[in-house]
Amino acid sequence: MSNVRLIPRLNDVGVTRCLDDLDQLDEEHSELMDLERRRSEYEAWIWCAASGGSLSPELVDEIRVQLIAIAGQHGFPTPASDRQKAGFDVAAAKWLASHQQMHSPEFLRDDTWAFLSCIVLQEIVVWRYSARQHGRFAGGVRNTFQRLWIRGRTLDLGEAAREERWHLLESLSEDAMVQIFERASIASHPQLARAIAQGWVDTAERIGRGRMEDIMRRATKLLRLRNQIVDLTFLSPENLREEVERVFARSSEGIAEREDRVGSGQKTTVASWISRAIRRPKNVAALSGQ
Amino acid sequence: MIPLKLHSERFARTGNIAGEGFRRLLGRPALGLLQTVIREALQNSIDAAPTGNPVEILLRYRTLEGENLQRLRNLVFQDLPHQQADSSEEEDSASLRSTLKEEQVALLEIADFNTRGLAGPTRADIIAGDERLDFVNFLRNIGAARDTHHGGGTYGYGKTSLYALSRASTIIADTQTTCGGIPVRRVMGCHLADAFEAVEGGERRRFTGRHWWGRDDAEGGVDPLEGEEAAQLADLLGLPPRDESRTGTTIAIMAPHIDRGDDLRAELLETVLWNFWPRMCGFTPEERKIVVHIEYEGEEIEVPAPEQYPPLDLYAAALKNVRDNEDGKVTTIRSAKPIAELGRLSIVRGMRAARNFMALREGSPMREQAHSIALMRPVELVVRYLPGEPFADPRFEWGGVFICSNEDEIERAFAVTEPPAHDDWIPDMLPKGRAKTYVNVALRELRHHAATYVQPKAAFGMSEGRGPSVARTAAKLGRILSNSSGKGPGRPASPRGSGSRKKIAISAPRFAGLDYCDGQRVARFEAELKNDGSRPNLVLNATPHLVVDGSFASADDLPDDIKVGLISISLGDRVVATEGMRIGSTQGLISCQVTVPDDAAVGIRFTFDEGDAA
Repeated sequence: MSNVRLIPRLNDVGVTRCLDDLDQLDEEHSELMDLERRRSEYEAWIWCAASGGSLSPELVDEIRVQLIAIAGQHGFPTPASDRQKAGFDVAAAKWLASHQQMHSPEFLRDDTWAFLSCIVLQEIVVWRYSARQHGRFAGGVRNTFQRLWIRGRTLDLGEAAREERWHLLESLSEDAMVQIFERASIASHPQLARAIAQGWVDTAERIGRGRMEDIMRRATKLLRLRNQIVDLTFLSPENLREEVERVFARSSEGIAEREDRVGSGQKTTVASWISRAIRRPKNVAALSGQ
Repeated sequence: MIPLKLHSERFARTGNIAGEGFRRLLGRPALGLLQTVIREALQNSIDAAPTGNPVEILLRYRTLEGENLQRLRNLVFQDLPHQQADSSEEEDSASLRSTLKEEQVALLEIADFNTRGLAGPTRADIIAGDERLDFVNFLRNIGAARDTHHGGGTYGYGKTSLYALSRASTIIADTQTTCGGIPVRRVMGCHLADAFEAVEGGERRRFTGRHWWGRDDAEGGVDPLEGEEAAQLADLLGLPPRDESRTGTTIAIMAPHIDRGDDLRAELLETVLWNFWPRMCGFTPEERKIVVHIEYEGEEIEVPAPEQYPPLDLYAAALKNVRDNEDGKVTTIRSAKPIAELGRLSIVRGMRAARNFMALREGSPMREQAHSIALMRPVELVVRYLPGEPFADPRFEWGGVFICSNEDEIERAFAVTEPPAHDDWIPDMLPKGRAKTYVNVALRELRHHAATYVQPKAAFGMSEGRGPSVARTAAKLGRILSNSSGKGPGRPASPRGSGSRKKIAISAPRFAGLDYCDGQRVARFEAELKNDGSRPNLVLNATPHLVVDGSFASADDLPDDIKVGLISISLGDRVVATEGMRIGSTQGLISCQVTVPDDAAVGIRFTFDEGDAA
């Protein structure tokens, strides 16, 4: 018996139909269709692989139940704050990445995720984003769940890392995630992606998360520039780490270390939110003074 | 140390073969001289290996100068032949005297280990009984019959190629061997020049032009330097070290006729692999294996396994088939009258694998698409490659191996058709008889197999080659078609199809090279500008950019030192700096220089704009 569990797929026409319907419902301020209705409505565009595993309605159900439960812990169905949404992202990514049945290539397909987002978990997508953000329904790097799955899969440090296992996933800001995972040249190499994530965490620790956006942008650009000459993915982990460290050091040149750098951990505390707010003006000055 | 003594051979009353005659014995081998020498020397080494001994070979090229060269002058060639011996200077050769005066003298050393060395007595007139006569046969006699059963060499003439390769016609032989069962070390220098006349002992005499350097044998001749002294001299000359456990022979060829450089390295490697791969494969039985080391000016050149070195991988696979007599993969070549099995053939085809171009020189036979059968006797040394029809699709290639039968009669037939350089089978050399028939039939069959392997049909119009060409008919048909439009109904065909073609255009830029000027890395890009002169005010702009993920990227938000800058644009003899260039009516090669920052790749984009300036 094959181990691979297959999931139904929704083709591009189905996605377009579904998005059109969502737009219309949004305009009319009507209720979303329920799951059964969605399944029958788009049935014509749902298909599955002819072989290579067995179709698993159980897995689909499990994904739905679990993700709705995780969303529930972060405020679903009531409108959520940004922090709740970020919390949902981390928790959902962990769950998706650690599910044994979801390590198959089935989950590298855009149409699999389109099926999950458009049909199985439509209400979560609408809650997390809105019915208007089409890219979050269709498969691809921006898909609501696909992006979480790939983040979790890539940044998972493995069970051997124990409590540090999700350290990178929990630490990275949304901007840093986007910088890594929406660049095919980086995201397609987990080693490189992890090294950059680690570089981000180290640098953020040194100078403060608030100042990381430009630095990250510059660092990833420098790395991609370098990647054109030296194939970074062929470097040994140590060399790659050095390379990434060097690039982060270079792109954060001239930026002062944060004063309160005491091993206070990465979790954003109320205090750090406040200190961040206070530091902001100085930050701007430092950057413009460059 | 006492320098060696020279002995110049005089003509005996009964006559001797003169030096030049000896040198010409080789004939004109089809291969290059270096290749002939390496083949000859390695064949000798293989023949000199006692059965069951794997042979180790060292090919070494080095240059002697300064102190080392002085030692060669003082210890070996202190005593030089008569001035008269130098008289006739041929093209590209020099006398030993003038060669030794040069500031640098190159040495090509060919050393074998684990072989018998040059055994036996050191004089040709001594009766040796059962003992081998390697020493005298190699250094003194000519044309001794072959004595190795199914050995590679048959004449012993090939050794003349060693002298031919030397500009000074001089070699030094160093051997660790046995004489009468006792280990002995011997060193001797030999020089082969033209016959000459000179006054010796107050009398005018004729000399054959053969000279030896060694120790006085008290009978007017010289014997090789032996024992401790010989070992000491070899050390002083820097010849590969030996002791009683490292038997074998080193031949040092003085001032070889070869150009040094990368090509030489490639040629040494290529010659060894191309001719001796059957003895170097991983599956070659240990006792038949030869291990070759190549050294060039102190640097070891890695010799790859033939199985991993296309196209030899195909030949190696074919050889394995023949050796294992693999079912269905081997064709037996037979002669019908007299009935005999002449040998076995296997041909293997495959995708044309990428070659290691670094190790292959220009014009190397290994660069081409393989389409030959390697011919061998059971000794498994490649005699030559018999070319056949290549696959029409250059992505495929084939290679085959033919080994003649090891029946004594048949093996002998093939062996005797080989010219002195052992690089061909020429049955015409034989008188009419069974032997000639065997080789003729085998070659005919092999040619047929080679020609028809790719396309069996060719078998029927063999005499006409590939049959009538259809090119003419195709051209005629093409002419009919070219007058009609290919665009479908409703649209008029533009006359000659060139109406819509751009009259001013620039090709995609290509990277032409990297320079270093004023402490800056500078990349050169080139592009072809086509210009019919219809818009002379058009300005050509070049915009350099960084390359990220294979496409354009700006230098925005990067550290300040990462910048690309255009230095100049040139077209013919016009050069402009960063502003655009008015194209006027010139066309031709546009060349741009762009600065390259550290850790980055750069590209360039060309655009035209309707300039009113410049």
